[in-house]
Amino acid sequence: LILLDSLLQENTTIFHTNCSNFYCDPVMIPITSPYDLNIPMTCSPHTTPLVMVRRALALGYQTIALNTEVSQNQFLTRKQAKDKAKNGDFLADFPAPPTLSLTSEDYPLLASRGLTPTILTRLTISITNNDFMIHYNKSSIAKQYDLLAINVSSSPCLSSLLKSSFRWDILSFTPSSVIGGVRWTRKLYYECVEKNVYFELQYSPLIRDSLDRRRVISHAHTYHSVGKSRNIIFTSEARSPLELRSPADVANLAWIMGLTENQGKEDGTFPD
Amino acid sequence: MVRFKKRYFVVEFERAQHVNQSKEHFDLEPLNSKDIDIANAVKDKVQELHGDFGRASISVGFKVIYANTTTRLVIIRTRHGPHRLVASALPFVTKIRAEGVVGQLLYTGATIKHCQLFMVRRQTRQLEMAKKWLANKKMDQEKLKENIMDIRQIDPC
Repeated sequence: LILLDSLLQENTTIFHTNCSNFYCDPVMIPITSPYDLNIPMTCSPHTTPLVMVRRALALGYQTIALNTEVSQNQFLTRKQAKDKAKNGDFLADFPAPPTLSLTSEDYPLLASRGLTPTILTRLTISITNNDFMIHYNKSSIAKQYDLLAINVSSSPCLSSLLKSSFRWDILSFTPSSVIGGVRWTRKLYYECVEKNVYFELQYSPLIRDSLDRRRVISHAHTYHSVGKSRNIIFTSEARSPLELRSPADVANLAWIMGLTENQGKEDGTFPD
Repeated sequence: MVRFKKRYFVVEFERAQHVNQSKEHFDLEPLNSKDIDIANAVKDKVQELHGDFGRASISVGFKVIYANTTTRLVIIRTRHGPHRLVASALPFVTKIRAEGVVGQLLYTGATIKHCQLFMVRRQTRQLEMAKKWLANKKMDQEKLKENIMDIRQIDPC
């Protein structure tokens, strides 16, 4: 797990720590902005992650995180494992972090400036209760990811997660769970801020669908009214290269999401 | 008299097919649309996002021209306050006259002069890239240069 706040404070190195509870194993990773911290590995069937990464790098991003999404339902508890009649795609353990090998032809813009892109790996877990921690702590593969994101769907779930000493980097949400989802209060928001958790706002649902657009914008405005839009990052969650937008465009989008212009520039990307 | 401040957005529209394919070929085909089509597409998006208020407030002093058709470079001029509405709508423009496009905001300027400087520098870089990628095909170098470096001026008022 990377300490995301040091990543976002424009330091050139960040610590990569392994398990939250036990001893930390710091590894320095150089990062630079602009960054796009959510490019899903499960993209649309017409394209591959490599194409998406190339497009993102061509648009001007320097740090990218490849996102692997899992859900808590995919892990069987001991009780469910005994009941062998269950059907569905269940995972024995977390999937391994993806690796992507890039040559300097894949990023001509950066190569001409003598820089190399930073590709990070990110794991997003959609949780319903704290039991996912059993699977997470058991697994050594899960700890190999650079960033950890949690997708929460309800307030009791989030409060119990905050009460435990579990540390994670990013809190995200799905547009469909906005209406019946977490009831944000200032107290809840700042508890997350104190734990150095960053709130993720994805901009590709805005481009894809009009209903999702309204939901995401209303959620973003909730963040603004409850927490003054502190600790927010913009990510793409782009399922196809057409949904990626350049850093300057994303900074402009921040204004609809309730942020001031300066916050928009800092909270996701730095337009050149 | 206090002057009317403006903002000029320099935008490049790429074809959706070109982005999807991710081949390294250089696209020198102009889009099948005119200035008015782009203006309408942007205004419709602003209407969709910001409603009648948005559309009305940007309409004064709103002008879109094709700076360079070969590299699909466009300049959009708006007044200083409502420019935020246009800027926030630009990432959402996905179709211009039924052709799928992806817009990329390259530069925001307050004066035409600086936009001009930026565009000249960018077009020079594009010309070099074009020469590199089309070195195999027999392209008329002079004509290529003329097509890419021809930057149309936007009216100052």
